[in-house]
Amino acid sequence: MHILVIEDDERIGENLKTFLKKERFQTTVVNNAEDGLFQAEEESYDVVVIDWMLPDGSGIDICRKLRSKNRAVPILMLTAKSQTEDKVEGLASGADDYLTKPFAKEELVARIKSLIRRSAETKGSPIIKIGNLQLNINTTEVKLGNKIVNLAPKEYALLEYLTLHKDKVIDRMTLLHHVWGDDVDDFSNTIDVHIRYLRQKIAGKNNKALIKTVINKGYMICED
Amino acid sequence: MRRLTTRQNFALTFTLYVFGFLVVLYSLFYLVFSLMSVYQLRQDLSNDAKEIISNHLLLDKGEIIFRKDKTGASLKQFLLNENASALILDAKKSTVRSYGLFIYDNTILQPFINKVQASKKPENISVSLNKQKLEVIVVPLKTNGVQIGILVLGISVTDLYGFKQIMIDVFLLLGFLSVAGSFIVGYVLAGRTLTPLIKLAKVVEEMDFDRMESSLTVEGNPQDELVLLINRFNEMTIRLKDMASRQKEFVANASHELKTPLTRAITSLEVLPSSPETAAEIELIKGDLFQINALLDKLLLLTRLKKDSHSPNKNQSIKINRIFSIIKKQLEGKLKEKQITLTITSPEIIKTSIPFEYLEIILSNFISNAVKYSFNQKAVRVRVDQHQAGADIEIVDQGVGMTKEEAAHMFDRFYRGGANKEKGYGVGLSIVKQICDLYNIDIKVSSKKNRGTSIKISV
Repeated sequence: MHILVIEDDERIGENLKTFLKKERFQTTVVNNAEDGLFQAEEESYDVVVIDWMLPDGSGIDICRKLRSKNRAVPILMLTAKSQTEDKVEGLASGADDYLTKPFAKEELVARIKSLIRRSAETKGSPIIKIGNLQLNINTTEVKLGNKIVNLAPKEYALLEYLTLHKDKVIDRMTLLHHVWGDDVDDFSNTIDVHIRYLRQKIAGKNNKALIKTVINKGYMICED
Repeated sequence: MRRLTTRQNFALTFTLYVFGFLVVLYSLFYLVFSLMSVYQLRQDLSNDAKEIISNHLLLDKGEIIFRKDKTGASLKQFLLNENASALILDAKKSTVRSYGLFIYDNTILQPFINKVQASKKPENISVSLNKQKLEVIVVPLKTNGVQIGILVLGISVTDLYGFKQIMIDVFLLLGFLSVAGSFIVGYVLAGRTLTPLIKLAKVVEEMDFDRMESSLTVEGNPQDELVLLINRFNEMTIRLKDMASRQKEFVANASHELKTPLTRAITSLEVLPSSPETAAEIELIKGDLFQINALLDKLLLLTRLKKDSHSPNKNQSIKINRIFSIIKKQLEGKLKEKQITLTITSPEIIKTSIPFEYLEIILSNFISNAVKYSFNQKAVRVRVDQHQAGADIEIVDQGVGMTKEEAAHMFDRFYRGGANKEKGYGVGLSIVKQICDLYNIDIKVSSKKNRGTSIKISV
């Protein structure tokens, strides 16, 4: 999962990046509204976390601009403003959720996960099922039938992203961006290697591959 | 002695002026009347004396001869008519005839008689004779330049003194009435004059320095002192309003500004590599930081309290038992520590106009204070009674209580009761008061030092 954080306070931004990384999120931090809007428009992120007050504009404006351009990316507003009216204004501008500063790490992570869940059309349940494969995005537990499957962090992240976007073809660039973030070479074969490992660890009924390769397009996970 | 109010002072001063004026007026009147009456009397006496000499006496041949006047009335009759006394002496000052009061005693007249005998000129005198006051004229009787006797004519002025006495009585009565009347009139007038001041006092009394919505309008001469005062007062209100709003703004800004470093610190703590030894410490520090944040939120709430921001419903149902369960959870530790029993008698739902969040703030503050200031092993009782107009809530503790002075300040911002060892910032109850003011909720506090406190509100 790749998260964009637009936060002008560099230390807060760095701290967010650090503990989101621990939660296996890829995080890009920008420090001003202009860069933030550019990033959010140009790249596809799973969640955008926006600070309300930025040196060159307000988070509300970024929100409105993104929504006016039909960007459906989940937005979490982050702000020191704790009044009901402010929350209402933030949500009305197009934000999906609102968190007041200061916040507990756990709450931020829980809210980000909930936004991801909701945007992935899993009807809000943290457990996603594909055939006999079961994935709990809250606990990161993966089960095949009744058997727990142990996955490496990147393998899990890859599986989670594909599962959240099941029945859709995801191209390699998107996968790289969302799972590996910015710290990987675009032309490496990392994805192919991880897909191979994943296929070995999880297989559908009758040993049919759950993850399918769509030639010249990318990968897709589906039941059949 | 109780000091007089300005109004009473005004009225008294007015009365004193009226009283002084009356005294001067009456004295003048009395003086003039006395002088006039004496003058008139002496004129009469002199006329009477002339009449007697020309009509009743024949002074020819150096002898005094009495006769009747043209109407046939004798001297005695004439004197009776005039209510006068007379004494007629011959040249040797021996009495020829005496009438009226002079019959019995005329020694008092001797010096004057001697004087007239010598000077040969009429003399007016006032004498007291036989308990009567007399105005007397002593006239020499002369014929052809020869003095052949003396006529003493006197009229009793006792009636006049009686009249004067009545006049004084009337004056006193009138004076008393007018003094009383002028006090009443003065009181009313002073009241009318002071009305703008009284209004001003009321406005000041009702003034809430956080809102300061009331200002005074007075019509009148712009040079009028009261109008000036009130205009200045209004200007001052505007300035105070401005100051209060700036103060609020400052608190709001400061609270916001403080939130960023707070977030920085908390997030930093969260990414701090922790060992089992430091983990507990880090959690404690985090807890403190969140407590600072809670305080900032309270301060912000103080500056931002507004009515109707989220209470469109006048008579909404509130699950008050949910508030109580939140409060119980908050106070769990404290209750156990102090071995206090918290008994809550309440319906599950009440109907009220105050929003849930605000009621929660009010109850949480009152109940946690009750627990805070209760003695150990005592009970804190909360009772809620729903009735037609709303709900009555009563919170009673058996604790340290408050002195009158402390109770008077309990809702002041940042006020902390005397010798207060409990944790707190003196913000909670001030927020409660503001909310209650906003919703016109009356808070009744009765407290006795070292006995406990009872709080009653109707929401």
